[in-house]
Amino acid sequence: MAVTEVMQKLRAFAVCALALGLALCALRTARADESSGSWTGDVEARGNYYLERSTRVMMPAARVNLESPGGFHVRASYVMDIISSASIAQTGGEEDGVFTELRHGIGQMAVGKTIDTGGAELDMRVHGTYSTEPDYKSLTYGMFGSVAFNDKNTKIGLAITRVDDTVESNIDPSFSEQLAAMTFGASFEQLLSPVLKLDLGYQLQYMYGYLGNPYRRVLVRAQRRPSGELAGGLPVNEAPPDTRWRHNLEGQLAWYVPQSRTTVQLYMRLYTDDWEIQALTPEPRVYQQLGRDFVLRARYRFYTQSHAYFAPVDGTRYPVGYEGPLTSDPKMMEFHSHQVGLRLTYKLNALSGTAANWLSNLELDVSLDRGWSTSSFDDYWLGTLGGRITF
Amino acid sequence: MFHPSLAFCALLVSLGAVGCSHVRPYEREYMTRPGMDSESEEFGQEFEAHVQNAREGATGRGSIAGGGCGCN
Repeated sequence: MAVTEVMQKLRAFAVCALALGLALCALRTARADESSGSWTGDVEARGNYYLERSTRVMMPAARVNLESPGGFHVRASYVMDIISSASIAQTGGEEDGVFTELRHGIGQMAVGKTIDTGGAELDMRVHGTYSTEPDYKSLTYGMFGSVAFNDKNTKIGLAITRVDDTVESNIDPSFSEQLAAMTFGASFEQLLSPVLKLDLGYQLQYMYGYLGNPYRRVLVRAQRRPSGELAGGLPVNEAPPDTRWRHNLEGQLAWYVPQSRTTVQLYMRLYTDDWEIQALTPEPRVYQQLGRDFVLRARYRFYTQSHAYFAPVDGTRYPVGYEGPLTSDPKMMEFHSHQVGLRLTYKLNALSGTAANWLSNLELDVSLDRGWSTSSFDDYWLGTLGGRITF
Repeated sequence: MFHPSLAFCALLVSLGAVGCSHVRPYEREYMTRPGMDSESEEFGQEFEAHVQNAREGATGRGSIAGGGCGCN
């Protein structure tokens, strides 16, 4: 076993041990508080499904949130990713074949404490996540802190997150590269009126290491035909730059209309990075209460981006004499997409006051989205089925 | 389309918004209604953010780690 692999396992173990220790401390404190209060929290389970021309992803997921009367909170989640994809590279053959990959072991642990001083509230959390699949290991950990003040009308949050990934290849056991990232985030939440809320967020991320895909091939030294088109070329591995600075600014305005029991949400995201990709994502949503038990959500999402400065003009080939970074990644190209979706949520209010009263806080939801994309990933479907119970 | 100085503008908007309003605790009933409380949808959005991050050059919402989706 390589030294770096051992170090990574030790680091993952240390983070998990720290999270577990803090969780146990929180639980112990919470039990001590049980005589004077009660636990609150929620349990959520979801089944997610994504389908596009060449890839299908199924992802069952579960999460538990617990908060003790003393203000300690613990969160744990588990996600499994079952990916079926048509790929020449990963099957190692000459033709397209279907391979299925399983990603699991993602345990997102977060523990923290909320301190309420009356007019203000301080919240501190640490979190860690480890995920593994045959050709990718990822460890994410960090801290988040927020303070609510101005009679809790205003909330400011700061976060710092570290990512340590190992990229491997299913067809080349000797391939192993490292990818790391640091993310700094700031958030701002403001109540503007009893029916209007503003959220703003900014994230700055620095990535370094191997930022490519070991299966992706690029054609270089292509010949230019008299018509101007590129043809032929020699296949080589993708080689994007090994550093990347990313800026992300997002804002959301939510407005509740009591007369019609409607919420209108306007979300906007602006993105730029030093690979010269710029992106814009507006997403309006409408939530409509239907009777006592149902809520219908309708939304539209538009996404548009420019291409990376090193993206090939035709998407796959670089001409003779080109010596810059190489990619054939569809998400490095210019494209846009439209997505529409509906979600229906049903709360089991009808069970209130019956023998199954404890289920009256259960919410079930089903959603279906359809996306149209001009990228080579093509159009897609997105569906989810979920249940969440609060207590 | 986007410039980091916009983040500074957002900061100024934020500071301006702080002094503009004061909602009392008993006036916050509507803040728990669907669509007003974004935290309740956080977990549901993680999957979507995960697949989008693998197919779009931008990044943002979501916190699921790893390559996944045959995208690393």
